[in-house]
Amino acid sequence: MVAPQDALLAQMRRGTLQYCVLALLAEDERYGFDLVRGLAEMDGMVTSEGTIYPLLSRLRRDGLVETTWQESRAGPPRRYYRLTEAGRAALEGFRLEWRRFRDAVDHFVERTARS
Amino acid sequence: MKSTADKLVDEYLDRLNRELAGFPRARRRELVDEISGHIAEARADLETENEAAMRTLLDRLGDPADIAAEARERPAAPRAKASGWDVVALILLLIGGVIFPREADRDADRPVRPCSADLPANDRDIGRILFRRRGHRDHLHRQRAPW
Repeated sequence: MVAPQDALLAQMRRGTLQYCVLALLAEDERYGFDLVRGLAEMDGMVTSEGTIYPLLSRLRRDGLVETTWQESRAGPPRRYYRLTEAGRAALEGFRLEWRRFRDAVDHFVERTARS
Repeated sequence: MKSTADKLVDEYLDRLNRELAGFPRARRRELVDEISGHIAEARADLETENEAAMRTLLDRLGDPADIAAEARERPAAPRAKASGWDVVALILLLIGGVIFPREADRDADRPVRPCSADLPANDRDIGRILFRRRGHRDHLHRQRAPW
């Protein structure tokens, strides 16, 4: 059985993870493994690393990211993911919505916070 | 002879392939390629490669069934292709008023605003409602939507 806290985190992650991916790619293009490790640096963002790949595939099919193959000195060529203009716009749209949403939730839950 | 690590990776990728059996070939191959690339990168990062390290690495990747579930659960965003309802909504929005003119459009003495007496709502309104519903679904994509 899944603890309620875990289920809540999973739901919140579900809604926001793709925008964290877009935000990481807004800084610089990255290949899959590098991107996954970047996300995993923050505790709680990724539980199963492999599930990032279907997400990346969907972002690509939606035109929010594009990919290029680049040679690697360490081994075979790597597929790099890069933000498109549509991806940048989607990230900016989310950022505005997120601030509003975060402020709204804070408005209610923080006013009775004891710490 | 294959090492235990190689066998574990093969097993993992076989399971992933089986879990993705229902997907179009190109998508299955994309996912399997990406994940086997990930495994290769992660392996190269290991200080010492032994069975425990490989099992930990594959555990971090997650159950192939979860990866397949993720691929199934998130279809393309609505923006990417118009659904049947979107097409119906668009057509009715454009020409619904011509096909099903309101009484008010024909009779200038009656108020133009729809009121309960006009029910059932004509199809041009249904087109608007469908578009609003779509707009709601696309909440986060609104920035890019032309309407």
